[in-house]
Amino acid sequence: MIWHIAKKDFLLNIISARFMVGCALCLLIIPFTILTNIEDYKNQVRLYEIDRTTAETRLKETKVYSGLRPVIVRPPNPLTIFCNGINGNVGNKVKINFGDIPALTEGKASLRDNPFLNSFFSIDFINILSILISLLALIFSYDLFTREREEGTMKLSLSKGISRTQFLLGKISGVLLTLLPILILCYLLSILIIVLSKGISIGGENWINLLLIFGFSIIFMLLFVLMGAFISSRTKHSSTSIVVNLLCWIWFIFLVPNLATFISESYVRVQLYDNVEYAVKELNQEYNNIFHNEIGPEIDKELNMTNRSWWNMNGGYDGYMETSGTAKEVMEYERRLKAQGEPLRIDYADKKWAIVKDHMDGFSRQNRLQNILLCLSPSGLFEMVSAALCRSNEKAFLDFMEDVREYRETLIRHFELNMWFESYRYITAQPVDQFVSYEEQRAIAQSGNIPDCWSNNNNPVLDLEGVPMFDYKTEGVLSSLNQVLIKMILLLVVCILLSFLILWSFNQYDVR
Amino acid sequence: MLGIIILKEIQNHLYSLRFHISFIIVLLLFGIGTPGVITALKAEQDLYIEFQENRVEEIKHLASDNLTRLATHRFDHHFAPRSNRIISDCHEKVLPNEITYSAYNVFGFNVSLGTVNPLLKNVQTLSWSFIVVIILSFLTMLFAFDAISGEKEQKTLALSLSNSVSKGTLLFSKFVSIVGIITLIEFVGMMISMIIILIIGNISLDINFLFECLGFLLLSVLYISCFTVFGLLASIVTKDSNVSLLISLCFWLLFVIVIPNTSIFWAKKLFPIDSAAVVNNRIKQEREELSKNAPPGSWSSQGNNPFYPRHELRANLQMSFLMNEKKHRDAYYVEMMSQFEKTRNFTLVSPVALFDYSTEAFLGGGYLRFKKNWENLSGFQEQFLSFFKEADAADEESPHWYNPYERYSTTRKPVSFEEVPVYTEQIAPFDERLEFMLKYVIILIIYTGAIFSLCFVLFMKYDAR
Repeated sequence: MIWHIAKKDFLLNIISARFMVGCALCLLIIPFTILTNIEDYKNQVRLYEIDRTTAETRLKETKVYSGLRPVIVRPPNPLTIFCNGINGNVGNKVKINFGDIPALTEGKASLRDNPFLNSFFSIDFINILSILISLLALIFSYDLFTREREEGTMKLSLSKGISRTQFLLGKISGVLLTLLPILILCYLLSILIIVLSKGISIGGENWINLLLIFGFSIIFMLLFVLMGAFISSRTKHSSTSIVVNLLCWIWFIFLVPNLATFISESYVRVQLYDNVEYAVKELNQEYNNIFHNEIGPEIDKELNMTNRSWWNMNGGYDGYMETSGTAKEVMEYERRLKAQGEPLRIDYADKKWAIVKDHMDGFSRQNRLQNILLCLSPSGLFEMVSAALCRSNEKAFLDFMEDVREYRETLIRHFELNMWFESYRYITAQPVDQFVSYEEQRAIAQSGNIPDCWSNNNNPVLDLEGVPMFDYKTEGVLSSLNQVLIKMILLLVVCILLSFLILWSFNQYDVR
Repeated sequence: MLGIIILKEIQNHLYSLRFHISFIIVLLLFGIGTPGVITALKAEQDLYIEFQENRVEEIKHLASDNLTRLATHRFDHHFAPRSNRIISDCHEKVLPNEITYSAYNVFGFNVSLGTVNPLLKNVQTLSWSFIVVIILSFLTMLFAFDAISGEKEQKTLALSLSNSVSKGTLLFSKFVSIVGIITLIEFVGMMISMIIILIIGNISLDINFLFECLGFLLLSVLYISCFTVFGLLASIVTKDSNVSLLISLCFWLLFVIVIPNTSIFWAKKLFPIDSAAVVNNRIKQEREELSKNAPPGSWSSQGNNPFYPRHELRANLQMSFLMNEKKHRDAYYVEMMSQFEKTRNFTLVSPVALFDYSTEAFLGGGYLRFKKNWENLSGFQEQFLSFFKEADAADEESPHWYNPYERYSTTRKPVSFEEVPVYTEQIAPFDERLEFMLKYVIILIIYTGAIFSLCFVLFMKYDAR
């Protein structure tokens, strides 16, 4: 009997205007959203390729250890086409500096080409799906009982020996049968567009994650069907039911997620980033002060130096220095300066990290509160679960940053073990046996016969064999599942509770 | 007769369940949003004061050290938190809100992290504008979708028209009553918000602020009117209120979700510009060319000797690097702004965009604010450079070889902090704001008028039986 009711409702639904409009909406909006997200993903891949190639080229061209500061580029995940999570807020690359412990990434894709476009509203497939599916679920279920009551068919059905539970299950199954093809259509359409797009492959474990997201979408849809059914069972008129349903929809889909972010941002305060930068800058100044006004003059004194000049010299951030053709006295001065200055730079990085970490802890507190508040909204839960399964949530990002920090430590240890800070190669690629004294340098410069090794460009690149390289790790399915299991159970529990509530409410329903 | 019908309609709405629930939701949002926004604003203002103090210290330190250091230093002008942010945040957290400059150049702009947490998704301020754009537009649709079709279903439409009421009067009264009831909800919400502001007291309710509130209310009435006519249209094109509801929801989704969400897609497809990587590459190639063609010894330096002859070569080379970069970057910035403006014009089909842009202009925030700062800073940079060159010219120990990035070959003397020009932001005057918003307001009025006329024509042919 349940099947008969479900079949009847399904057949009635598919010839209804709402089904047509629902399908048309999905057919219009979903492909467009997926196409937009594919464009975005392709842009991320393009930027990744540029950054990775640049980073690899620069690394291969490095000639001195002070320039050996690898850039880690995070590869984009094709699942972000479905759920972009926080990916739009963070960059994709981190430079390993010894003077800073990295907290955030650089190179935010949305800010690279035209940052003004950032002000346009942008949502992903999961957002759109949660908006459309929840709306359709409510539109199909708001008059589940009220319409039958208004048309007088409920009395008729219940007078034929059908229990209320059977009737209820039949009605809900009918709506689910109607919505399931739309949901499947949305996913199939998206996957088809992705598969047909050039250069995108959702490989291996990603399919399992996608399947899990699909499973969760069904629970999400069921919840809204139950919500609609419950409201329908508490009202007598369809017009009342639809208004209450739509207000619930806007509350759960738009307001709670926004309130969750707004409350966590407004009531858990964090420091202004510029002030954090200023505090860090002060420590940099302190370091530079010690470096130039204490360590430098001390070495000057030891070496009895009064004046210094460099022949070919490049310098830069994080202690980068590359010189050639410079007199050996100055080379020795620079070597000693780096040997003492670089370990101090690393110590200062720890001091700066204390400030930055405090700032990051503020972010984490905001994040925790947001996640708790998002549990009050089914769409919030759906988005959190999808972001975790698509590895685009804050945890995936923070884990990546933790790996980057560990790699930095490994690299520093490698420098220390090999005594690279104390070596001439830290500052010059010119062979040591070709160093010349001040007098010799002046004579050669005047003669005009400048040796090749006096130009940084002509000196050999570093042999990178044995230098530790960053290994990008991705989470397995089990780990992702572990993250989302509680949220999935929570949504299921809410569905079960709602089912009991509907049963209780419908048993009291006045069918007259 | 019109007045009586309007009053009757308003009375009907006031007693309806949808009004009660909507009223509670909107008041709740104003109630929750206001303390949050003003607490956050106060905290940000305090942090900004700290930032400004740090900036003054930085300038003092650089000025007391040497003027060249001050002139070559890259300053970031960070936009101060606006006190009328409670009305609308004008997307200032995501639009470029920081401009980098030195005495030699205005280098570029950036979206500063500020207090924005990159680990959070859906960063939206619960300002009045957000409530109007998302919630009140939705509520308007909810009140309007069955204005005609609902009456037809209940057979009251024929009854109403059997009295001496013209179809036009009935339609207009429906329109006015829906706009009136939503405006009433908004007005009460704004009043509650103002009471909270008065109690907490972080924002002064001066005449300017009250004028801005009034302007915002008028703009939102226009916006609500636009959604009302779309709701009425949905109600007139069908005889079944269920279908009207679906059409209304489609309109709402189209205007609030689809059009804004596809803007970036259209921007890239219809108004493409070079990527930043291409521009950077162009700059890099020319830089390499300049470096290759530079006279030998252009990179030589002698830290303690400003008159070291090769410093002049070095200064010339660095200056040519700057000019090369400036040429490419400035052209690229113009392209960026043009792409953005064209995309904004393209999105004007959505009343959400029209309302957003007009509010932004009226409050003097967002893009208008950025543009004003960008232009003013370019003027300030020239003034700063003249000041620097004047001071440098007066120093006999300086060889006057202007190097925009280094401090080898210009004055090394300190300067008094009081003499240093400091950039302060100029708020756009009202006439400028009105001029900027006029286009959007006119379009919104024409849009609403056109759809209302369409409703009128269709309603004239509507079968009321």
